[in-house]
Amino acid sequence: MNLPGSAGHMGRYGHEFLEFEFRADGQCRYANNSNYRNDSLIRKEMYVSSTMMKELKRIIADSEVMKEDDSRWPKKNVVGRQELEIRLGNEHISFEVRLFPPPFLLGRLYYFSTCFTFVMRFRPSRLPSSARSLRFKRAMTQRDCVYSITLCKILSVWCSH
Amino acid sequence: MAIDEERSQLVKKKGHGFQRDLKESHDGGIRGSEKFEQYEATEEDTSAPGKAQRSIEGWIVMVTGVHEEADEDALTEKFAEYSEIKNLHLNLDRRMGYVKGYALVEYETYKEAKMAIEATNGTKFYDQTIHANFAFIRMPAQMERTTEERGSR
Repeated sequence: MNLPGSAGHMGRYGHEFLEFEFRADGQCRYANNSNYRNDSLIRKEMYVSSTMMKELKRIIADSEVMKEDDSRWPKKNVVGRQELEIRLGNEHISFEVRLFPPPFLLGRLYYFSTCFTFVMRFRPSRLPSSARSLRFKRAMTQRDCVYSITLCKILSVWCSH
Repeated sequence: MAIDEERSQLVKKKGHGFQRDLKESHDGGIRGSEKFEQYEATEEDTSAPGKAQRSIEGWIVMVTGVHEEADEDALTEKFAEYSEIKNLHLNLDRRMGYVKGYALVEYETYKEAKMAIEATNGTKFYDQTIHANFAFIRMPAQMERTTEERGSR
């Protein structure tokens, strides 16, 4: 069963969005869209090992993001949104927030979101054109800081103990 | 769906994301019906035993349990003992500035990666046990059969 999650923003470069999802069996899916420089949609899929899934769960637990609450966060708006959904054991969170809220408001979510560059650096699929690899790299370095993300981000993680 | 309802009663839910009954799925997103690209394995990749999968330029090893004060150079030295490292990433925790606890090491060939995994898995680094394994695996066999069904959803 998939947990739904979808986000994006409409802007100068079309409907830009960045989504990825981890499932309990290690399946990882990724979708990245932008019309920046006439670029187009990238969708990739890969399977990560149990070691990786274990580390993912450890990072989630350490970050205490499951204890977080989005009731005080600025709500999503027409400009864009970010969503995070995690099902871990018997806890299930699904947070929404608009783009670029101050990090101190987001608390644990801000730091948690910076942990997830690790898989995307090492996607196993081939990139057919150099233009795509450029955009992928650009998105990667920008993800180091939530503020510099111009695409909406969604992270949906489904792990069961 | 009765089983899911039962399960969901035991689950603690939190967040505004649940207020939407139908989460929109737009074209191209994770929920969209377009196909996902997968790694096109060559002969050489599939001949490797086990379930590991190659990445674009090499084989990637995931190392966990790395001490938070570990030095990247020390890690590089440790893993370079077995074969030449093509790439190494030791990510930091953005809040505290220490090492996050995992590293990704890329080797050129399957044999080199396997050798490094076998030599370092379960050993001590900075007085802490580290674990090493391949980062990516091939699609599990039963998934391949159901991919077509899933694709038509």
